[in-house]
Amino acid sequence: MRAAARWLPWLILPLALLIAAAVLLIGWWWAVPVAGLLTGLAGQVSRRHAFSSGFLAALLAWLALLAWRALAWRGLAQLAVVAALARLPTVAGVAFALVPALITALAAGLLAVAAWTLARLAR
Amino acid sequence: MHRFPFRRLLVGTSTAALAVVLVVLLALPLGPLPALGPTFNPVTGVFAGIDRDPASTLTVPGLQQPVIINEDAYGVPHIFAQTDHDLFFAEGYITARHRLTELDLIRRQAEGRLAEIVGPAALPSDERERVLGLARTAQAAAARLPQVDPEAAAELDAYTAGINAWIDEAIRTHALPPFFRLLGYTPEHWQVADSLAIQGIMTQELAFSTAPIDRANLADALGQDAADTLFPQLPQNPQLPYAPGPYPAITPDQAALDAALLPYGNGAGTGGRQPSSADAPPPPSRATSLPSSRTVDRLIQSMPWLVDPLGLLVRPQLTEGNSNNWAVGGGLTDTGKPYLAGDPHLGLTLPAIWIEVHLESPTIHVYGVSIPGTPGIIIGHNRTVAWSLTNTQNAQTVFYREQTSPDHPGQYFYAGQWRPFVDHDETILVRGQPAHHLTVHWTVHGPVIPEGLAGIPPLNGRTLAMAWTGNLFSDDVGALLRLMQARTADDVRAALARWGAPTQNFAYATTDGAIGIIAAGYYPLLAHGQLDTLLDGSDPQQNWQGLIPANAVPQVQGKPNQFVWSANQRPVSADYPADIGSALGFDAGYRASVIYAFLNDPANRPLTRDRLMALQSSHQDALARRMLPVVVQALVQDTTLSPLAQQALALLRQWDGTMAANQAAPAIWWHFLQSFIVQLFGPWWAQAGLDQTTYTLHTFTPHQDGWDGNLVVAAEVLTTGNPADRAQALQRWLADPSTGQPRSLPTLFHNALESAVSDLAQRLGANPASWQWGAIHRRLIPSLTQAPRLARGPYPTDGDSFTVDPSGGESSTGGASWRMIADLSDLTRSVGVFPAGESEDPTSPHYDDQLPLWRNHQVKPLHFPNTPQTTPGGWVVRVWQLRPKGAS
Repeated sequence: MRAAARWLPWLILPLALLIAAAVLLIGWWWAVPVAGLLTGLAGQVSRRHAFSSGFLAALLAWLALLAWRALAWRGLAQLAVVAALARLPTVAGVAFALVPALITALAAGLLAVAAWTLARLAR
Repeated sequence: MHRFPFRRLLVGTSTAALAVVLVVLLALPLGPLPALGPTFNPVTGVFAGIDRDPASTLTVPGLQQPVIINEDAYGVPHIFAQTDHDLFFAEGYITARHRLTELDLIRRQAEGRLAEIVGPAALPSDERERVLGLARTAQAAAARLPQVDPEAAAELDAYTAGINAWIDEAIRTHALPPFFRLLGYTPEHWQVADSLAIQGIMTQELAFSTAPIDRANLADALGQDAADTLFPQLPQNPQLPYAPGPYPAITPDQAALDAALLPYGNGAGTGGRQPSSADAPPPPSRATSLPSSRTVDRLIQSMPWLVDPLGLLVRPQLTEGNSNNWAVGGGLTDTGKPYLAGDPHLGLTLPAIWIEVHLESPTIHVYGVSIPGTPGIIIGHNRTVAWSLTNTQNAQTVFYREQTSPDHPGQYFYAGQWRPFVDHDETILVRGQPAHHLTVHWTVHGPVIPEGLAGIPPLNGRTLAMAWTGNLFSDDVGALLRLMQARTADDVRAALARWGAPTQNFAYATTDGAIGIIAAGYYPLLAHGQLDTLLDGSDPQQNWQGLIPANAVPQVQGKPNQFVWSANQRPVSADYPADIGSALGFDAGYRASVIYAFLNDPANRPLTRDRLMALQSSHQDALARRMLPVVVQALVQDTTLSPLAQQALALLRQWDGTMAANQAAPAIWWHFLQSFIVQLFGPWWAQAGLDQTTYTLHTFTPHQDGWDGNLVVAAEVLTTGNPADRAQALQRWLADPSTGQPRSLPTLFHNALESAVSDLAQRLGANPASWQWGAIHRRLIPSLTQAPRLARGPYPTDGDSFTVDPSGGESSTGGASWRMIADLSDLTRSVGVFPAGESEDPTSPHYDDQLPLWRNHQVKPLHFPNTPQTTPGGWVVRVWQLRPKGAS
C-alpha cells in the first residue's frame, strides 16, 4: 500500500490518459469522465489532489485524438464541411469542435474531485 | 466523536452531479446544436464519415466471388466481377459509398417521407408525393417485377444488397456522412421499392405536367379562344421533326395498358375497373423515430433543399431546355463509323444526379452514367452499341374534371351513376410533431388533386383527378439491362419495347453502322377528347383507350450518309396518326434547328469528334437569329429612339446571335425579348386580372409545361410572320385590350428596346459598349444541401435557354448534366464529362474534379479496358478488391 501510494501519483496522469483515449477510440465519449473518476480515487489513495490530473487527462486525450483526425484523412476539411452544413463560419466550426473536449474535461475534473472527496469521507 | 463532514459530502455530491449534468449536456441536442459529444468525438464522430480511400482489400458480406475495382484518376470505379450478381452488388456498394446522403434524400422525397427527418417544413412536399402516389406505385411494382422480369428483379436485388452492405459497414465503422450526424438519424436499409421510387421521381421530373390546368386557368381569365391560341395542337413556328414519316396506322394497345396497371386502384383513366382499397398495399411502414430538435428546426429554416432536394418545388418545371442527342452515320464522319453524342440537361447540383461507372462481367461490358439508385447505366455504351436520351415530352399527365355535388358527399359522377371515392389513408410522420394524416380520394381515373397542393396551379374550384404514366408499372430497369446487352439495332428496339415511363428519345449507334432514334415509352390514347385539356371525368368515352404500340412510337433509322437528332422538339409531323399532346408540351425547336443546320452543313464534313464537341458547346441562339433581322429592320427606321437605345441597336446590328458572356449584344437581346413579351401580353394580363405570381411574364423559359414558352413562340411567330396562317390566330394579341385598336410591331419593338436599355443602364452603367452578358448571366451549381460554401459559382457563363449548351434565365442552376461522344470506330476513344465528381463528400478530391473540364468545354477519356490489367498506364490510381466473407 505504501509502495502504491509512492508510485501512484506518477501514474495518475498517464493512466487516466490511457483510459480516456481507449474509451474514445471505441466511441464511448461519455465514458471519458470515468478517467476523471478513477483519477480522483487514485488521488485519494495517494493523498494527492486529483483535479488537475483528471482534467488534463481528459483534455489531452480528446485533443490529441482530435488533432490526429484533423490532420489525417482530410479531417480539418471535414470540420469545415460540418461548419458549412450548419451555416457556421469555418473558424467557428473549428472552435465548435473543441467545445466537447472542454466540457468533457471539465466533467472529468469534477468527477475526479467528487471521487477524491467522497473517498476521503469513506476512509 | 467526530462531526460528520457534511461540507465534504456536499462538495463530493455536487461536483458529481455537475459532472453528470455536463455529460448529459453533451449527449443531448441543445438549441440549435446537435449533440456535441457523439458529433465531435474525435474517433467516431463526423471525422469518421470522410469518404476516405479504402483498404486495398475489403471483406464484403453478400458477394459470391472476389471483385476487382480499378479506381481511375477521377475516382471513377471500373468494376470487374465474375458474375452479374457481383457486378451489380459492387455497383450498389460503390454508389452507396460515394452517394449515401443523396440516395437517402431522393428516396425520401419520392416516397413523401422527408418530414420524418426534417419536420413540418417538408410537409408540402410529402403531401404532394403521397397524392401523386410514387411510393405506392413503387411498392406495387416491386411486388410484380419478379413475376414479369425475373432478371431485372435479380439485378435490383443484387444492387440493393450492395447498398445495404455499405450501410451496415458505415454504421458499424461510424462512417456515415456528416449529414446524418447533424440530423441525428441513421439510414434505413435500402429496398427494391426505393430504387423504383427514384425511377418514379424521374418520371415526375420529366413527364409530369400541369399544363392542362394552366390552359384552363388562362382560359378562365382570358377567354377560351384567346387561351387556345397559346396552346396550339401543332407547332406555330418552323420545326424539324426527327421522324417525319411515313407512319404506320395506329391501333390502341389495350393489352399493354392493362399490363401496366398496378393493383392498387390506378384506373389510369381506363375506368375499366373500380379501384378497391383491398387492392392497396399498405403504405410504407418504415419509420425513423426521431426526437424533436431545435437543431433540426433551425437547419430546416435555412435549408429549403431539405423540403425538396431535387428542387421540384423550388423550380417547379425544368428550365434548362432539356436535352440533346444525335447520331451521325459513318458516311459523314472522319472514321467511316458513326458517332453518338448526348448531353441531357437537368438541374445541376453537387453531388450530381449522375454517377459515372464502368462495369464488366461475363455478360455486361458497359461504360456510362447512372442515377444513384438505378443499377447498370442509363446513358453510355457497351462494346457495340452507344445510346443517349432526351425527354420526349409527349402528354403523359391527363386530368379529368370530376363531377361532384353537395347532395352526394364523398361521391363523384361517372358513367351515369354516383360512385364513392376510394380513400387511401396516408400517415406522414413529422419530426417533433404528431403524425399528419392525409386522405387521398381516388376515382376510376386516379388520385384527386387537393386545392393548394404544392407545385400545382390553382384549381379554381374544379375537382380534378389525375391519370399519369408515373403510376403505371414500367420495366425500365429491364429495358436498360437488355440495352446493356444489345449488339444490334434490332436488339435495341427489342430492349426499348420494355421501356415505359418517362418516355424518352433514345438515340443509338452501333459499331456495324446503324443509327436511329426511338421515342420509347408510354403514349396514352383517348377514344374521345384531346390530350392537354381537362377531360370530362363522367364520360367513359374519354378514358384511356390504350397505349401506342411499341412498334409504332415515333422512331427513325438513319442511313450511313445521314444523321438523326433530337432536342425535345415534337418528334413527328402533323401526319402522325395519333394525338401525342399539343405543341405546348414540346420544346420550341430552337436547339434542334441549330443542331440540324450544323450537321447538315457540308462545310462541317467530315464530322469529327472535335467538331461534335464544338456543337455540344454551341451558344448560337436560333430564336435571336430568326427575330433579329425583323426587329433591326423596324428599329433602324425609328428616328425617335433615345441615344442609349441607338447605341444598343448598333451593337445588335453587328451581332451574330451568339450568346457570349463577354459581349454586350446578348444582354441587350435578352432584355429586349423579355420586355417585348411584357409589352405584348402585359396589358392583356392586367385586364384579365391574371395572378402574376403563377402566370408571370418575367421569368419565361421554354420548358415542358410550356405555357410561358409558348409566349416566346408567339412572339417569334408574330415577329417573323412565318408561317403566316399560324400567325393569323395570334394577331389578336397585337390589339390594345382596352380600346381594341391594333398596336404596331415597330411601336412594341421601340418600347421594348427603350425599356431594356433603361433597365441595363441601371444595372450595368450608361455605356452599352461596356455591358457584358456575363455580368448579369451567371451559373451557380448549388450543393444538394444548399449550403452556400459547398456550392460552386456563381460565375459568368455563355448561352441562354435556347442554345445547344443551355443556361436558362439570368441566374442559371441547370445545364448539360453529362456530355458524351461515343466513337463507334473505337469505343475506347469515347469521351465524356459531367459538372461535378464521383463523391458527395466535399473533402474528397472527387467532389468536383470534373467541373473545371466541363466549364472549359473539355472532356476526359472514357477508358474502357476489357480486363483489370489492360487499363492504360497511369490512369488507374488505386486497385482494390472486394472479397466475399469467408473467402481465404
